Amino acid sequence: MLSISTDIGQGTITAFAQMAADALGIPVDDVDVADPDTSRMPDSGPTVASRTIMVVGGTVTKAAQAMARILQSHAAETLGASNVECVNGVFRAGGRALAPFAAVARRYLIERGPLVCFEQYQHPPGIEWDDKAYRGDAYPCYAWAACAVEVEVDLDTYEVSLLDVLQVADAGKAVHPVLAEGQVEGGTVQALGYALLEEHFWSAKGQLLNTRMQNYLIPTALDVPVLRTLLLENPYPSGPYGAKGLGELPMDGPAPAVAAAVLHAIGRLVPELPLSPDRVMRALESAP
Amino acid sequence: MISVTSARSLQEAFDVLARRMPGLRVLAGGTDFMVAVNARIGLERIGHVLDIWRVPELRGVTWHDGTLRIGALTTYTDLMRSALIRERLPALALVSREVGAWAIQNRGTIGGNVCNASPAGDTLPLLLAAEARLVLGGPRGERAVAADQFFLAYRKTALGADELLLRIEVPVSGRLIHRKVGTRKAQSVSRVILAACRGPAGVRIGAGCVAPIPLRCRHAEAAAGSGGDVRAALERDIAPIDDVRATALYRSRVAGNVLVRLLEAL
Amino acid sequence: MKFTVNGEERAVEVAPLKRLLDVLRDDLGLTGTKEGCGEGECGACSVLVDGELVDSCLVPICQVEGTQVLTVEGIAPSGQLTPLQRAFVERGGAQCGICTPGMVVAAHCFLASGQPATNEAVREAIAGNLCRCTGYTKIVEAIQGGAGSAGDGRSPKGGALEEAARR
Repeated sequence: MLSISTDIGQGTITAFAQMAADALGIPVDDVDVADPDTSRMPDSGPTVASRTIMVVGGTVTKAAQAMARILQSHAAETLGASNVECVNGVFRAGGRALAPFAAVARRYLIERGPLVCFEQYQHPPGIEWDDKAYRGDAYPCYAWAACAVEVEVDLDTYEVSLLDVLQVADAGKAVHPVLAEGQVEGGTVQALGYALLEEHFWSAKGQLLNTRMQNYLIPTALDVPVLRTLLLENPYPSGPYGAKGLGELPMDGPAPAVAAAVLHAIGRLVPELPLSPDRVMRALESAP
Repeated sequence: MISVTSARSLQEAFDVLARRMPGLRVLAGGTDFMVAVNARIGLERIGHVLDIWRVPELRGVTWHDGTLRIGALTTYTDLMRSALIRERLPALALVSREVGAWAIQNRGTIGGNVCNASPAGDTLPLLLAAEARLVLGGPRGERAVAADQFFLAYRKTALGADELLLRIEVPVSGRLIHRKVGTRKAQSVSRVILAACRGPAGVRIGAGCVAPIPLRCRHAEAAAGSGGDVRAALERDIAPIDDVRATALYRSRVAGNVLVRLLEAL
Repeated sequence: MKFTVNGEERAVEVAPLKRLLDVLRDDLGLTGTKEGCGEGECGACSVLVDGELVDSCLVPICQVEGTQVLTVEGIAPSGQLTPLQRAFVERGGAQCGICTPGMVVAAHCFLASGQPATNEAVREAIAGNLCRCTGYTKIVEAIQGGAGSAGDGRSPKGGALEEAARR
């Protein structure tokens, strides 16, 4: 599997292997997702914009499906069967196992040469985007999330503590539910950091003053509660297995949710992030 | 390359101190010193390093005649594990739990906290409120300095150039409680930290992050003793500033809030 | 300077203030331990020295002489994973992996202490290990799932403080 999408822990390698394996009917461990190498791989686009599973994975799926069709038809020919399909690494027909995938592939290689399937992403019908004029529908669909938080505000120290956090995310299809939850949970905590802890301080000359882990503060394990995550699947018809983008989605809700929860708690809107104790104090002391 | 003497005994450490080497720095657990070394801050001013981590005479917590004696090399973990501390001065064990996290607690020492003399030092308000004595020693002998006489100016202490902090002596009487208000729930420097002790001689209050040094709040103590306005009195004790962690107004307001609660609890 | 690393005696001749982190990575080729910040904030460099969790970026090598150091490489024999490590894999406790060696070492130390693996106790044990990817929930689940992975019964630290605080 060759693409330049880069796995930095979000699970691209696993998800691509799953999607290709599913389309080909082989075990997921039999798919080798090669390290990105722009010298020998097509330009799959950058690993950004929550597009990897939906756009690139969708293209992976189509390429794997194309490969599966070619191999199926080759297997049918050479094995003298019809309605051949590959299940769990074995080509079968009429309820009988015929030949392992590797054997069929090796025979194809000998008889026809290398099999390379190349796919390019196409916007679904009805979505028009002009890249030169930069106009049209840039996005074929949207993913949705809802975030609820429960907070406690200490009226002596003005500190906001997180008691409970729930995020519900609809990304069409969770190709790998554990990895998808991981994206939601990680993005949630990062956004909670934006809500309560993370801030840039600048000198009068525009130099960043807090450049160290000691003074740019991100949440520790004690700063956030157990996160509750629910994945909803509202399939997107033009997405692979119904999948939409997910990576950035969890970032949107938590900080506004925390601000709303603090408003609910103290009756004042703290209009600036992070909701530092200093800002909470000033909101409480300002006229209602 | 910076030269280091890793002393194996107090005498060996004293011998190094006696040489009065310019730019001598003392290294205990390294949780402050090594941060500066890693950031390459002030390396050119270091002449020689005296590593005291293995000096046995500086470790140990003992009880003697109503007084806790805490060796300078006692780590925060040691303080939490010490049955003596947990029984006689539990606030010190509790504040130790709020320093950094496990890995820092295993290496950071109370002596380092004292000699580093940051106005945000987490044990310092407690030692002040407990009227601790700091026992200093060197080739010229030993002397005790009251905690409230030890912190002279911003990060400047009464420790002589040929002296080490040997131990901290805390006469245990009365009840000592504290509250640390940090920047997050672990691995945090204090925004405000206060300790209050009610003993036979009255109320003692120690505060950090509200002045260039950790200090006793004597006006607030007097007000607490006479039933006066503790908040207004505290304002006369402290001189907080704005920095990346908090504003002066926040520190002033929260120090007052926290002090009122501590006194209610005592 | 002689000390034991992962059960093997090693000797190095380096500047006394060289960080244990750099000795492990550069002199001993044990690159499992990572540098995340160099200031003792993130815990990516966590190792055990004589059974105690430390940030190796803050430990000068002159203080390591004669000690037993355990790095992430020493937690399981080569090619195998402990139940704790398997739990990290299966439950999504690792994403980019930069915090993972330090997390595993901290978790290993926590489990060895024999404390009950409650949500609060686990989070306190890993409070010095920063993670940006996972949001911690799956890491905590992995540690709770890996309980029974390491246990030599060293005395717990936090339990009696609650009692002491009530005095």
